[in-house]
Amino acid sequence: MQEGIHRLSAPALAWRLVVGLAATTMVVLGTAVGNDRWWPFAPMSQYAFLVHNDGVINSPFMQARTTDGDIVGVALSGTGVGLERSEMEGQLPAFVRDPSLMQALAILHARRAPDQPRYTAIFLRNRQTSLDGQRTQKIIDIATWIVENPQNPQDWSGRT
Amino acid sequence: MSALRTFFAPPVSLARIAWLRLVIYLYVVFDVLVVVRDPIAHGQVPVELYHPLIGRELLGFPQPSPVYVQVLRAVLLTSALIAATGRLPRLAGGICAVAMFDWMSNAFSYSKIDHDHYALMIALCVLPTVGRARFSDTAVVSEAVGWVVRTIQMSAVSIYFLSAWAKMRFGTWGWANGATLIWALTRRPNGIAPWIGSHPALTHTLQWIMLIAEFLSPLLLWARGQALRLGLAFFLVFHASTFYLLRIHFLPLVVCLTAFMPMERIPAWWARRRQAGSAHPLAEQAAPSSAR
Repeated sequence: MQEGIHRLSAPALAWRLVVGLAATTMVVLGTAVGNDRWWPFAPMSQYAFLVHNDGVINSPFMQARTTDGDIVGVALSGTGVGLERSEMEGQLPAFVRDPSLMQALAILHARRAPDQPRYTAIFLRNRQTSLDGQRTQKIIDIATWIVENPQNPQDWSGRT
Repeated sequence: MSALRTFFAPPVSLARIAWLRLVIYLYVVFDVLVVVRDPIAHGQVPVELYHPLIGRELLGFPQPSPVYVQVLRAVLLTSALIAATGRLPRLAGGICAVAMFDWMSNAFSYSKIDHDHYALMIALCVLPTVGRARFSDTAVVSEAVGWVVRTIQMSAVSIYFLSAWAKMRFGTWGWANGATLIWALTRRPNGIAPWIGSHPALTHTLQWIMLIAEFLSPLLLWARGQALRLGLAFFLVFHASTFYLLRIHFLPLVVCLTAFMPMERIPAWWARRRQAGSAHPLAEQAAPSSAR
C-alpha cells in the first residue's frame, strides 16, 4: 500500500535540475569538442575511428633483448610489466618522439620481475596486416632504445 | 515545470535505492578486485609515463605510489561494502564516490581511457543524495529517489548516444561502411570472430545496426513495458556478443542499466511464485492418478 509521495521542495528540485543539466552539458561538450583528459566527461571514443576497407591494421608490440642475449616479448599487462598494451599504444607517439622514455619499461621490469634477466634493449615494433585479399603481414621497427645501466636501470643520467 | 518535474524526478519507491545500492556497490568491489586492477601496478610506473587527467589535477590527487594505491584500495573496498548494506549511506557512499574517482582517474592517467565507467561514476555521485533506504520501503514513494534513478538512466543512455556521436566526429559518416569491426576482430579474436571478420558485408551490417541503435538509445527513457524490455534485451545481447567475440564486456554500464528495472518488485514476485509452487502439490493430488 502506498503511504503517499514525498515531494521535493522547490530548492531541492532546483539544485538537482542544475546539477543534472551541468553534468549533461559537460558530457555532451566532452564528446563534441573535448579530449581524453576531460574524463569522466571525455569523448565516448572507443572504436570511434575509421579503418579503410583497403587499409592496414596496426598491432604495435614490444620486445626486449635481455642480459642473456635472448629476444623476449615485453609482457604488456597489469600482471606483467604493469602497463597495459592499450596504454603503450596511447604513449606510442611519445615513445617515437623520445625513445628514452622506454627506459621506464626496463625500470618496471626490474622492479616487478627482479629475479629475471634485465633488459638491455627495448624494441617498439608494429605488425601491419593489410586488408587486401591476402591479408599479408609485415613487421616494421618503430623505435629502439638501448637501456642505460641495465642492471640498475633506475639509475641513469637521463632521469630527472 | 510540471513536465520537467515528472521527467527528471518521477516518484519512485524508496526500496529501489536499497536495491541499486546493493547492486552498484557490490559491483564496485568486483570492479576494483577483478576488472580495473591497473592502479595497483601503476604504483610502480615511473613518473615519465604519468599524464594526470584534468580532474585529478584540479582535486590535487598525487601521482600514485605503491603504498598510496594499497591504502586507497582498502578505503574503497571498505566504503563500498558498508554502503552496499545500506548503512551510513551518505558518509560511506560519499567516501566511495571520491575514492572511486581517485582509483579510476589513476587507471586512466597513463594514456588510455575507457568510457564504460561514466554512468557508474555518476551513479556513485547521486546515490548518497538519498538517506537510509530499506528493501521493505516499497510503500514509500519519493521524487528524490526518482531523480537518482533518472540520472543513472540518462547517464547510461548518454554513453550509447555519445558513442554514435563520437563515431561521426572521429570516424566520419564513412564509419559504418569501414573496417573498424574487422580491425577489432583481427586484434582480439575469440570464437567465431575470425569468420565474421572475413565477411566485410556482415561487419558493415553489424556496424550499421550498432550505429542506429546507439543513435536511437534515448528512446529507452520514454519506453515502457514490452518496448523497454526489448530495448534493454537488445543492448544486453550486444554486450554479451562483444564479450564473446572480443572479450570486451562494458560491465560497469550493464550494471547501471538495472536502474531501468523495478527491482523492488522482486520480493513480491518471489513470494507469489513460492505461493504458486506450494499450491502445486495439492493440484497434483486433486488430479486422477491416471493423469499423473
